[in-house]
Amino acid sequence: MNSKILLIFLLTLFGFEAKAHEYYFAFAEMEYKEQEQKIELTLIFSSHDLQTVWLRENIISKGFHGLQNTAQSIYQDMDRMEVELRKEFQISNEGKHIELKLDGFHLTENGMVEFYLSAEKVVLENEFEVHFSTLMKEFPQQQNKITYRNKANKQTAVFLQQQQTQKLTK
Amino acid sequence: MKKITLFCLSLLTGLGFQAQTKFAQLDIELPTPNEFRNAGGAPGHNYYQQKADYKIYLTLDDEKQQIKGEEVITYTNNSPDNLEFLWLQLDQNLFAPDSDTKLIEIEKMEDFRSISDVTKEFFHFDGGFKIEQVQALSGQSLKYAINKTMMRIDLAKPLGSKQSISFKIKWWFNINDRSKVGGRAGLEYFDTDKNYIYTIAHFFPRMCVYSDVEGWQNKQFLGSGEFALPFGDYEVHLTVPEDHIVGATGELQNAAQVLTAEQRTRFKTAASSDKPVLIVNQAEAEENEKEKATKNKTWIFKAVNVRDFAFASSRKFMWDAQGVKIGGKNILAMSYYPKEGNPLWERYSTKLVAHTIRTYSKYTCDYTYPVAISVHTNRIGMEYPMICFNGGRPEKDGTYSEDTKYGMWGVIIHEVGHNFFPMIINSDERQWTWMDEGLNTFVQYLTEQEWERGYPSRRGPAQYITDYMRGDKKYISPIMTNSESIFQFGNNAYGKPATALNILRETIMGRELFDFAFKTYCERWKFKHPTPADFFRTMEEASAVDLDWFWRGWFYSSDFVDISLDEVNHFELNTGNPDMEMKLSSEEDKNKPEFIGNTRNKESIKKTVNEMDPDIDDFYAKRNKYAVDTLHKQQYDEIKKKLTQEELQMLNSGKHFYELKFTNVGGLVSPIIIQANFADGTNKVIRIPAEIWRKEEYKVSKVLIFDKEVKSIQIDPFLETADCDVDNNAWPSKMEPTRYQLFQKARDRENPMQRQKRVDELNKK
Repeated sequence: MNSKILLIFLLTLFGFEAKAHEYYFAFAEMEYKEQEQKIELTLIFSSHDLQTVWLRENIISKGFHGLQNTAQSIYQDMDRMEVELRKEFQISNEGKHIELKLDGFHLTENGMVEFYLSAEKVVLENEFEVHFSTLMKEFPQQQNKITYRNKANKQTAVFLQQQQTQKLTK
Repeated sequence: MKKITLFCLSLLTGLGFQAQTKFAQLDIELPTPNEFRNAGGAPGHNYYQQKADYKIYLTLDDEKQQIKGEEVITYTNNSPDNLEFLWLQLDQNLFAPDSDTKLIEIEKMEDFRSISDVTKEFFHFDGGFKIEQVQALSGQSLKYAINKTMMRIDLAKPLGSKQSISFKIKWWFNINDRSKVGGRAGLEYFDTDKNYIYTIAHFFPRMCVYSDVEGWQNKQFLGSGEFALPFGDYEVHLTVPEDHIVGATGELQNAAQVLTAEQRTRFKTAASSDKPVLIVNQAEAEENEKEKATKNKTWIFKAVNVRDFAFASSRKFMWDAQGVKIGGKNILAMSYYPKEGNPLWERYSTKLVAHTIRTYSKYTCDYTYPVAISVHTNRIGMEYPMICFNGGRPEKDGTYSEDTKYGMWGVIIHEVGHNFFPMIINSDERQWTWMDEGLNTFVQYLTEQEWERGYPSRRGPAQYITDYMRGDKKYISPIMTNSESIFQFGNNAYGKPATALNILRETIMGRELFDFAFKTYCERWKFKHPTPADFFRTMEEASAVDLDWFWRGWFYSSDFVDISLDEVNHFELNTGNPDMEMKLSSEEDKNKPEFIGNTRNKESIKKTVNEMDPDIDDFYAKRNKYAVDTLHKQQYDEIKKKLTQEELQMLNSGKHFYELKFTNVGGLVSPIIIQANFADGTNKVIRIPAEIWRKEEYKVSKVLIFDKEVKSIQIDPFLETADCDVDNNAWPSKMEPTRYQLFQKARDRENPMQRQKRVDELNKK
């Protein structure tokens, strides 16, 4: 089949460095609180990996450390970070994306950045889909992983270049 | 709580037999010991290694960003074999247009979504070695064949044992711009002052290793698996622009020709200083970068018994140095950096170099090379003998984040640490990344902790590896996987082995046994070529700890630690004393929860028939079943007569028995660390070795006996075993908070958005 490809005219810098100690690993910790009908989610990245990419693509105006300690308005940065995170981390319930809200973020001392997201009034179906492809485009070796918790039950799933969506059961 | 009655019987324990897997000795996994490598993990009585000596003449062309070189290699065959041909590595060919590295990348159409993706695909760089000559010293051409990143030189007659051969190679190549084509070495261009920093490595055809393990190690260089190189002596003549400052593997031989008198005086001062002394300061470097010299200068370096050679050259460099005393030698710790590296680099780099070689020497073997150098780059971290290229650049305004600072500290410690693994303890990186990266990351952790108390090390502490290790094992490679085939390079080859060694040191072997064994391995294999088996065997031989189960679980499998505390049952001894036991039974009976119907009946049924009719209650109804009678006392006296005084004391000791049941959920056997917290606020820690799982690999139980009542039990209380699910580690059961919950709890610290709202509201007022 011949298909036409529509290129996005994003003039991003394409520089990369082969051995810059990227970590190529991101992690999601998700909990569904059935009684409250609430999803609580933490996405964890190496701040080095994510910051490099987001600064290059103008998602953030300064490094995470600067954002965390800024006294100036960071509404725009927060909005853009939320949009960006939601592009590549999606929870789908019966084919519909659940709208996740970015509640905050925190830079840990050992170089990780954690994003806290939530969604309210969610009735999760028994089986739902999670798509987690953050940084996979930039880093071919990127591997992402999720641990999902509902009460005492836990599931984990791995996301790879070739498998960016996984099914989980409530 | 239950009472247990003791029987004075010796019960034979019934043993079920099953195939031993997790504790099976490593047998087929390890090579058979031989005269080259013995069964204890040491070099055997006929151990040998080859020697490759180099004399190199090199010119760095700053106008064209090219390297032109000629070398004479003298190769000595110390093996017992006749060599029909020689293999050399042409690692620059990774950048050749026909390199396999790009071809083997998995691609899909989603990779071409933007114009930059497509542009990147068509970006052309004419990289790779251009070999111009391969000759005998007589000038006669030698026959050679190039296979991608390897070159074979065919010999007119085999090189016999203990024989040497010398030959000459001439080549050139275009230097890769790291920001465009990547690379472990290359150039960085500074547009503001139109200058380059060159960090140059793999710049000459290098001999492959020939060993008892693999014969020629000529596995192609694909990009991930680094290098395997023989030791040798180097004399390198580097011709660079006259205004460049050069740092390189080895000792400078002609300081009088390349340094000013002032620089030589400062250099001498630095050698005996225990603090960094500037040899080229920032003002001088800034002045230097303004003009471009048209003439060249040749810097000559010599390095003895090294496996490689690298250098850095730029007119932008500041340079500082200090002396470090190790094993009676004075080593020069040095740094080269442009103004863009300051204020971080002048303040920390050389001190970090000095601290690293000191600390590593304590845990491994003495650093015996004359210099140890850290060179500033933008982002990379890459290691070579005596010299490494490290990231950590402050903002343009001279400020830097804590993340940048710790990133710079960490990468300098890590890359300088590579002097030990693999530069001195020279493992085969192309086969086994973990042998240098994993061991190095482990000692990096020890070194970071000695640099700053509570240093936020990213790798080493057990709990940091659990997100990676838990759950689906399908995409987790065992550590014992070839460098090119590893899923998750960083976690697999750096983080997991570093964690494993930490667990060995802190939990399984203890610091004393571990440190001795680890140092023994380093001393045995310094300036030699160790293999995984040599490491595994030495650690066991020097400690008398059978670690086969540990290597099998942590290095040969993708299992993870998840020990679940399933059940806790409380028992006390039945003393047989009727006065005590009847009273206790009566109290227990009274304290039993009452069925709700009975409670309500007390109200609703005013009188039962037997309460109204005295003829209903007979012997059974009237007796007090908890009353102590003469028969009870007589029986107790008889029991007492049969018991010794010690046995009687034991019976009356009031001990509490707790039967704990565990499941090995993750499959990786592990010691069980149990903390019993008593009702009086004290606690006791019991450490059960992993061998508890040797016969029952998935379900075990243990009875713990205490004088006091236990209120709660926690397993892995100090987060030392990398237990991947801590929610099943407590009795009574408790769920650990998620990260989101912790974030919510800490919300009084408010997130930046909330804080901004308050600022905005305040401004409105």
